[in-house]
Amino acid sequence: MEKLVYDTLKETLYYEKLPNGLSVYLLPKKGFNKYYATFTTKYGSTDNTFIPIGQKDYITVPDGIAHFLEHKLFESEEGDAFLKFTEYAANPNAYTGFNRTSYLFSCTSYFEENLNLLLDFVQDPYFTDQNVEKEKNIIAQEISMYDDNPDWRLYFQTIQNMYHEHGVNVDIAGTKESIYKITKEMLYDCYNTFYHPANMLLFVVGDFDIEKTMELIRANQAKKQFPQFSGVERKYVFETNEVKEKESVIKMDIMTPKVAVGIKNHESKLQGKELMNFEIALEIIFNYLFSKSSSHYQYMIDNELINNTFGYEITLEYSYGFAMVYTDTNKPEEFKKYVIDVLLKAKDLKIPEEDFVRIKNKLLGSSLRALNSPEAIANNFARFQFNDMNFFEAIMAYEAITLADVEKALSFFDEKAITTNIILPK
Amino acid sequence: MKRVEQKIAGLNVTLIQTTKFKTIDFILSFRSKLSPANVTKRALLSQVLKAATVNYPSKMEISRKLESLYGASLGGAVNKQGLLHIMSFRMSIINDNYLLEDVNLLEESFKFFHEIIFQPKLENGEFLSKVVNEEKRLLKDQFLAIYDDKIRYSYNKLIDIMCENELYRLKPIGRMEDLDSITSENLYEEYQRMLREDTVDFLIIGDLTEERVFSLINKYFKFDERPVINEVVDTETKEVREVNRVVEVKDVTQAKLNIGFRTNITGLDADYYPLLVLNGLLGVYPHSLLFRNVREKESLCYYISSTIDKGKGIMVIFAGIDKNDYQKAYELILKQLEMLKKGEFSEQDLENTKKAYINDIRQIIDNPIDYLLAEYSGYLYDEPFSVESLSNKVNNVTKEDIMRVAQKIQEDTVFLLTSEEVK
Repeated sequence: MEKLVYDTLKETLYYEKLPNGLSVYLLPKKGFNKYYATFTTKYGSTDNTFIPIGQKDYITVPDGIAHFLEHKLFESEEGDAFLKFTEYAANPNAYTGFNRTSYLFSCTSYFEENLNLLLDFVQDPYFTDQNVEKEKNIIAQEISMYDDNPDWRLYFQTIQNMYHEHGVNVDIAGTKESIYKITKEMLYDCYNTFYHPANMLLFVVGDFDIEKTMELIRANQAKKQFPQFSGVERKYVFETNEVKEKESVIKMDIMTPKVAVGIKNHESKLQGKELMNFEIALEIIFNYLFSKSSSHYQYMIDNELINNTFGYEITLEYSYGFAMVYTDTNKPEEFKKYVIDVLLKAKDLKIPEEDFVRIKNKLLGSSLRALNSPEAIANNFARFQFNDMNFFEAIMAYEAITLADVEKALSFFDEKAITTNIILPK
Repeated sequence: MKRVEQKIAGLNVTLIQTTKFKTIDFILSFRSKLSPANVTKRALLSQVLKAATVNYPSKMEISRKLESLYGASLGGAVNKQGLLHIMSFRMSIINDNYLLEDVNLLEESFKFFHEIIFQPKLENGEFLSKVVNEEKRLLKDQFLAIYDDKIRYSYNKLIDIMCENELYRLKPIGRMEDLDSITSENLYEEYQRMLREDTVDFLIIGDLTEERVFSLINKYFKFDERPVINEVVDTETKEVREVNRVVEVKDVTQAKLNIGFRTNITGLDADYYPLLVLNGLLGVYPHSLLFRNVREKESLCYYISSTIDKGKGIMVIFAGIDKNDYQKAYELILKQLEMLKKGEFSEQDLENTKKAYINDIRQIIDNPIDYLLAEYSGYLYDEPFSVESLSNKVNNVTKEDIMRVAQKIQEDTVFLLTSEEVK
């Protein structure tokens, strides 16, 4: 077991790679009642073309299968894992993203039972024709729910405008057509390939005994057999930053128009420290341009281009990435024009030293605040690790970032990378 | 962990000392009787006060100040609980012992927080009209946004129909139609009234000494003595002769079903904890009847939940369904409630629900804000917050309690938002 000490953060992390390849991280948190564990596979909705473990040829599976698999994994031959967690007073959950699927629980008692249960249910798939069929209507209702949600449509259509072929342009849950094509055989192919322990990460946080907990995990894993792992062969699609559509308009039954301006990343192969510095640089730039302390924000609010729904977000992952600036507004065209203008001028941005320091302190403060929350740490940890970064080192990297690092990131701002999506009332 | 409570003239102060968190969090809460006469003004005030102060006269300058306080966060919001309208302001700062620089972040933050509450930017003795107009526009957008989220819209519509002539219909953010009559002048009068008459609580949590906190409170937060407003539960009700059924047609992919009930039980009744557990058995957890029987067994929906309102005793079940499944889903949902009345649930289900609540209760003290809010709720319901006593109350609930309480629940209104007329 390795011990990683982060002095300034007053946190210590323990790490071990088990013989079957599983990466285990333990973060003791003294004085907390809550235990929280996430068990995450590096596999999401975009991993649709791959060579199944033990085979030779690529196959392509229907959209939405990773998410479908997440729903079905809770079922086992002996019943529903959700209900078993309930017996141990735990709160289980799961979510599927573009490139990760995570299973988790929180509890304040029966910690060891729950930890075993998490490892066991995820590592015990049970798919039958009948239980696969039954799930299709439930997921169809989930898709309908998102269809009625204008914020989701705003977000998603903006991504679809950016990407030509990358799987990120299909809804995580798939479509009502694609999910009805899913069979139990396909689910097993995906499961066996992507749920190998060597493709997974376990993160546990709480007030527990470190050695005892690691021993529990070792013993749990030693009991199970897994095939030899020789890496996952999946097809990544890399695109240039040229967007597929410059603009789109959707009509829905809403009162206030919604606008998102998206900008597609050109550096989709960055990993590790390079990605970390690029990400921090972009965060600083977007804060400088659009946070409430910026002159642009003040201008847009004074001129009624935005309201309290205004926001921005940055997503950077291996093979895809983008930033988005969005709002509800009665002046969609003016907002769009203003934001695009700001983004184009950002190529030559010079952030004054004083603002740079202030924003750095702010970002450092909000990262430290995230350390209060075991959930926030656990939910982010795997994402950093799968991109060869470390969550705790990233917090300390804020202090080291320089204006020169920020300048290097300015090539992100490129006219052909920009798209707009507008939702108008019917 | 140590708890200190002290009354300083008109201010009730609660300090929770703990080394668990890397932040210091504090809330200043003003409560008043919920009333149509001032609810919208108060909602607006919660935003106007954090928009411009004497030394930081714009949102930009306020945000810059917060950033320089190591990304401190500042919030202002309104809420309601039974008969009470609660306006609260909160700040969260990094505990200065995590910073390399030697700064007194706590005092700087108190000073800034003081300015937010007591030193708004004025012109001619009133709030800046620019600020008031801007916040009126933003609040109006909040009212309009409800329509755009059809899950929220249909839930709100159910309450509007069910409680048409009751105080409960008032939203915490008030009424859109009041906005036109609000001026910088009458808003300032409401602000003065609030400082003078509202019941004020200050709650703070973090790694702090008593001396440091109380000397700062004495310096920055002074409120004169005033009568305490503590009547919380809203017992206004109506006789339900016949279930009111309303269907509204809109352009939706999925039908949204909302069913409102009167439980006739509020947070001050002995039956409140049985009701809480009943609600858990019905529709809060993965093992709850609605989730298990309506979603998992019959595949009728993705989301389905039930909620109760502690201050009013209203229960709502809501789900998203295929419009053709309305009758089937509706009947199956009501059947789950019937099962509770007849005691058709296992001891195991009951035990699991209690364990789930106790798990939730134990987690409250792991989050600084949840902890402070639980303390505050404890004052309102005259039930000092303690994980142990809350857990005991949940644990004491029996199957007979659930059956008795289930008998009291009356269906009142059904609201269905759907894409075409249902036969």
